[in-house]
Amino acid sequence: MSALPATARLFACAALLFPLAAQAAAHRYRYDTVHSQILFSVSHDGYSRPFGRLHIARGWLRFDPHDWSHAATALDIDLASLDMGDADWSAAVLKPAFLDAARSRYAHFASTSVERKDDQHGVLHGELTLRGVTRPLDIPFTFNRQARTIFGLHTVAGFSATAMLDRTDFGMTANQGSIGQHVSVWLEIEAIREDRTPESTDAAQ
Amino acid sequence: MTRPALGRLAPLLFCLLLPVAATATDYRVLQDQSTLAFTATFQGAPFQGNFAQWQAAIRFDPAHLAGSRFDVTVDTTSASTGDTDRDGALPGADFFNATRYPEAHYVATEFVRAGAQVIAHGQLTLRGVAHPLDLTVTFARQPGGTALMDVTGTLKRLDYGVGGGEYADTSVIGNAVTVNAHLALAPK
Amino acid sequence: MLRNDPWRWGAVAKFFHWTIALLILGNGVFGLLMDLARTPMQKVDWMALHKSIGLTVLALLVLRLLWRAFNRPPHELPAPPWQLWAARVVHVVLYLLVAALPLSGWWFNSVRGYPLQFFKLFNLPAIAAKNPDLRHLSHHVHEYLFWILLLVLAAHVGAALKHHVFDDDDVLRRMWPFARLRHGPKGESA
Repeated sequence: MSALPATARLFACAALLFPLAAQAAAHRYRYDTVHSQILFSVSHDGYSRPFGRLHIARGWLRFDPHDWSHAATALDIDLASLDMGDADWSAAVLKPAFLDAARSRYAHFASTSVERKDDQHGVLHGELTLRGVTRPLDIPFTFNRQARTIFGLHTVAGFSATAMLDRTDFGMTANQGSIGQHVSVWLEIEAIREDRTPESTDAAQ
Repeated sequence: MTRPALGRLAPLLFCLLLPVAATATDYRVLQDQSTLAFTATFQGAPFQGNFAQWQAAIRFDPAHLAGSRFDVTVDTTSASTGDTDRDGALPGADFFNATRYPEAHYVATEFVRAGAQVIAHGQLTLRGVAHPLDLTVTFARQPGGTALMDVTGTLKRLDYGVGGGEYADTSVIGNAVTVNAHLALAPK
Repeated sequence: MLRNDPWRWGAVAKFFHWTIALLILGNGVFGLLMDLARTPMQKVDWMALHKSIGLTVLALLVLRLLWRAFNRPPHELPAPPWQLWAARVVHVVLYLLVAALPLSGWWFNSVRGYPLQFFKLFNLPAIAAKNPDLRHLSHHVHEYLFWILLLVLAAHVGAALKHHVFDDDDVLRRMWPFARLRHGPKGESA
């Protein structure tokens, strides 16, 4: 019974803060899954460091270029979209010993915090879940640009980022003599802002 | 005596024996070896009660049931069921109403054989209401002249108004109450 | 959608969450108001109902744990590590309290030697021997566990509202019945 006044107080605070929430809506983005690319590279028995490409299946971003403190993101990477440049080679990398896409098709990344270095640079801290294993991952990134697109249809924010991960951390322990342990990752990301503010009156939408 | 005289005496002697064999035995109850208990259900779980104060006048002979008789008086304030709340409520007005009816009385005068057992047809007066009650009697003579008697029967508490009013819901307090008596008897 | 997907709770998980929440809160308030019964028989009936609802919560909790064993929960939403940790702790504590409350009631009932009947359908055994010395202790344990639950709930509900109002994310939405996500799996927004 003593919790009731507390709950009432909570609701009162919540009601007062709705205007703030509405403001937060202006900094929401969804990832442009067509114009976003993830590349990775790992040593192939010392002969070369081939690339593989992956798509983002879906994801959202909360980002205010002027205040990074509330930035957050969550996204799914579609492992089934893997392209090694050859169908058989892609199928081999998707096998249980490696990406194990049959078991869980999507890798998932969720941020825990964003660290700002300057107006253009920062580090995205978060957790990557791959093959059912979750590990922390830090992703240094560059905020390239935010602007309206050519025809003024929407606002896009673009980022470039790199990461390095150890594939054995995620349970990929096969072929350690011939396939490299450290995987370099490049991310070229475009995110489309979800406009709900008056200045985005678009007849097309 | 001459043989013809004995022959004339024999039927007379035989007639003298008859009345003695035709009466059932009067017993006294060995109270400390006997129990009078009942079992009822509360919220689906059975509970047992024992009456501490009761007297029984037992006259019984399985071979001569016509002369048998039970006369039992029970002190309705003497029930204990192992739960103090319940024991406090039982003598109350809603249940035994002991201040108005301090005794329950059972009398059985008709006995019928049913295989190895005997059915006593009697009447129980409880809480001022008289209602027929049949009891099943098992009787076993013991060496030394004593006997053990087990009596059991089922009654419906609402027939006597026990737990009426707001306690009448038989899904909470079951209507059927089983009575069990174990009597150690010695001839008077 | 019955099962969970990586972005939201399924209908079954939502059903368990809200049903158990409402039943345990309602039953707790009911228990506290038990002394308002007008007659001893009414209190007997109310107590029987209180116990049956408590047993229902316990059964639902078992089913819920089974369901969760075969249904991965959705991904945790982006949050600083301390919040993720606090959420996990609070959730575990809530599961423990939801189990402990009806079990402590069962213990209290057993120690008192009362029968335990599920909605007048069948009886359940005692989990402890009758012991008049434990009467008060077992009653207090049962009651105070409810107050502790309310305290922990204040943190749980407060955090959910904080996420909903301040962060405007899907933490509350994805457990709310029939709500659409702010950031749906197809990238759509509410």
